[in-house]
Amino acid sequence: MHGRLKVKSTEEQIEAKKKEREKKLLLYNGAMSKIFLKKQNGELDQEMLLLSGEVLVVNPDVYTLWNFRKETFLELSTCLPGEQLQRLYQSELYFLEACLKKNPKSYGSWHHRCFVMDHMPDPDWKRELELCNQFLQLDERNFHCWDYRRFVVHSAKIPPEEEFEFSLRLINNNFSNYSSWHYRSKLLPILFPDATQPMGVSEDALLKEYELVQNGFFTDPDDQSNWFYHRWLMGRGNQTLNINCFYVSREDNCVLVSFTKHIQIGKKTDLILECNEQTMPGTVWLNPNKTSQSSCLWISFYNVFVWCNAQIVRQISIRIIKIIIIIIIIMFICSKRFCNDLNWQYRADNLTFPKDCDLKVTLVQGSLELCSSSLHLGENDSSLSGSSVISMDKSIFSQEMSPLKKDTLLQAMESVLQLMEMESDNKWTVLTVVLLMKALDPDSYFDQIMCYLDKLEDLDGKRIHYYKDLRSKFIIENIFAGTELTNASAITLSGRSLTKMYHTELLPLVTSLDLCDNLLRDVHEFNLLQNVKVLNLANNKLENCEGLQHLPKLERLLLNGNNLTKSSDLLQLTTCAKLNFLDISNNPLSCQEEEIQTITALLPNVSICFKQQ
Amino acid sequence: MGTSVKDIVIPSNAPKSLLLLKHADYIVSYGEKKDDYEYVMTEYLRMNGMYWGLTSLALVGHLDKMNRSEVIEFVLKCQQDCGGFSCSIGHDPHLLSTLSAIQILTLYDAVESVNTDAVVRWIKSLQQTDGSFYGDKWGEVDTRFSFCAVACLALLGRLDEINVDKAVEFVVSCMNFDGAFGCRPGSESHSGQVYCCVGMLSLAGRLHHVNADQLGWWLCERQLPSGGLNGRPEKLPDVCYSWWVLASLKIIGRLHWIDKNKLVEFILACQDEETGGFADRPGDMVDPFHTLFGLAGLSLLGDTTVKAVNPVLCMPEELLKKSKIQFQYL
Repeated sequence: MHGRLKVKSTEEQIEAKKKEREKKLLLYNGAMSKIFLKKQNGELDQEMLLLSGEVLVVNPDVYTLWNFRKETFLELSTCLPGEQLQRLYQSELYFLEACLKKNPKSYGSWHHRCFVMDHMPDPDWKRELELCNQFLQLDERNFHCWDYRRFVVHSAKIPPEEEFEFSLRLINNNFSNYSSWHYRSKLLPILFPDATQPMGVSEDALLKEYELVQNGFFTDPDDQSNWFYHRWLMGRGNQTLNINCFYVSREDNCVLVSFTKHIQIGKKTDLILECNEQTMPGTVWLNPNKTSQSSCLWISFYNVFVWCNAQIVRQISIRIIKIIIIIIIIMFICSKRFCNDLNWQYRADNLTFPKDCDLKVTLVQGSLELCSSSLHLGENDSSLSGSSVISMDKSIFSQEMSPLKKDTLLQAMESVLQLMEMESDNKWTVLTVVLLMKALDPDSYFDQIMCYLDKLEDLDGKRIHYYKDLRSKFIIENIFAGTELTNASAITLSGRSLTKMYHTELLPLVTSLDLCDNLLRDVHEFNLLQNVKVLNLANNKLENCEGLQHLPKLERLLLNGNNLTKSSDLLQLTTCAKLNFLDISNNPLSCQEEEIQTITALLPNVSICFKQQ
Repeated sequence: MGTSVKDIVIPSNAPKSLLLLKHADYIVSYGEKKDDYEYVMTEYLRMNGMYWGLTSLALVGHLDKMNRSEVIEFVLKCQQDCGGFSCSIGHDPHLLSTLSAIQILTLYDAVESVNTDAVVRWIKSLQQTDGSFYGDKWGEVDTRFSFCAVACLALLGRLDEINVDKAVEFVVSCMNFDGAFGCRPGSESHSGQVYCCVGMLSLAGRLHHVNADQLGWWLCERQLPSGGLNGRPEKLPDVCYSWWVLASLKIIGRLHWIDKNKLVEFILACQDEETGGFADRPGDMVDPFHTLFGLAGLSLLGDTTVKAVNPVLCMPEELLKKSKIQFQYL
């Protein structure tokens, strides 16, 4: 029911329309009852095609009737000779064309056409491609027709080169053709594959696309299609899976492994911990939420009894825990000898790391080794971290670029800057310059990027918060790119107008994080800060603590000057076992006696500051 | 050869406040005109239409205006031997109508009155080796059906009955260069499809596959100068995208990336002051589909006169809080 204008009509017109509709209704109801009766009687014959056709040509969305036609065709294929069947299917194609002309966006008609082509004795695929061309000429964005075209191309094994040419023809005809750009993004990796490139597409081909799309936005700078495609060309593709950080703590008897991507351990993928080249038994990995859902951070606690006592009991069914306890008891008995062999310290309730050992984690999928990291834990090390890629060089946030690509991007920047001069209120040029600068040299262009982001907020008020979050991301990346995050225990990001925190996945070892005097709205993914002791979130715009759960080391938390309104906004903090100081002064909730009482009861071991001293 | 931005202008006399009661009346009277041309000709959407209407009523707090037993009786009559539900009596079963049927039964707390084992078995039978779902036995594949299957099973508490890993794999294979999703691998991105895929990944707990910043940007660029949202680049705004786009943004934690006040203005302007109900655009004919998505959109935008709506299943949040369904949000 789309795009039907409501018009005021005269009484006469209303009356005439009513009569017409009554007539149509009668016809529809009559046809439908005949069809259903025939179906009941199993009469799948030519008359069924005739009757259902009368309804479908007016209302092609009655999917049940398309089903009846399919059943009829399958029935007739068993009794009609090939030639006759071919003719019948051919007439079905003509019939479908009539339906599609009336309603080119009916799912049922297009799917039925696929059925016919899949079933007719001698399908003419060339004709179908021609039909697609015709329909796309009428509406070059009809996604049903595009999907049908892909079906034809696949079935007729039409070479991708020809389709690539076709998309070029459409684009040259009209650059504002998002569907065609989309098609090219799918064809490029097939035609010009290069696994070493971020997008899986050879650089040469990508650079040619740059040229094409530049022509596009010069022709029509207000059209979204070109700019979306351009941004994709500039992309870095998918990050490869690797270990960011491997951390072992003798003190807490825990191992922590952070990855560059989200993974799920336990199904097809397993994380194996070895000590002196022996696999450590009974390793149970959980994410910071203490579940096995995918995460970029995985933690294994070796003190299994402590692990059981923690708050996971609620989340893992008692049955699993029973099984684990049985395993532990078996391990306990079996490992006595095993541990002695390895010269492990052995205590009644606790498995600990040997005095001096080589530790290694390996991520495996079946027999395939995906990545690994190792370190040597000396006798006197209470905790230690190692990594394969954590050396936080700039490549984490930017891409390696060939001189040719750098050259192309520089040229692109120059031409977009030119266009920006001509079209001073065009936001797309400004955003693209920002992205090009970020790709080319985020450090030296930093101030300019910030200026242009200001301009974007002025030009495009509807998306002001998108630009603010983008700015926050760039600021954080800029700071992190210049920080040796492995060794940094304290990070300060206060007073930078940050609206969103990014890259907490890179901070599993940080013990103190200062984010006060910003504009943060949420603390999602803060539970990746598994070593944080002091967290300053004072004077932000937080409305809840979703993300602060299960921070095992958190001792001091400053939440003063936020928008917390009710005690339930702090529920997550009950899972932070070591929390001993909390400042929630200057929040709407801190002047409500009832809320204060509830919070005091909720966090009995925490010294809470409700009012500013 | 510049193309002008496709958009509309909101007429100055368009409604500016929510006509809550009128919408309830509109839905009730729509359901009463069973011999109406419009009503009969949309029989192929009956089950969906009932879900749209009933959920609209539930969101404005007037579900009691409909005859519960009559509705449930109709839904029961639509369950076929195979387990799936058809859009109406005598029609064939389909996943699209099956999800609506399960949603209606959930609204009325009456899921137990149908053979749920049969529904689950049928849904299971529609999953293919690549993880995708057929809409029915005739083999059309679409990410809409992946959502329907997973949403049904989540509502029935039986999500573990299908191969969720494979289902996720298929949905992820429909992701495009813009971070958004299409109907099938290779299909162009579309906001409706984005909603289905993001909703499915939320129910499966696998939203990490989504690049939230990239997808969020594509979604917030759906907002046009009029304040309305379109479903794809260079298309006209439409109230139903207030739902598909907004719910997706909510699930991926980027709802603040659009201009809420302008969108509220657009949605309110699509109301019909005479009859009640919402149209796709100001001045067009209203229908239950746009009425639900107008109301649900306003709810997501913080209008407290409408009940809080769940962004994944488009049902009243208070109702789903009682269930054990896990929703993932970024």
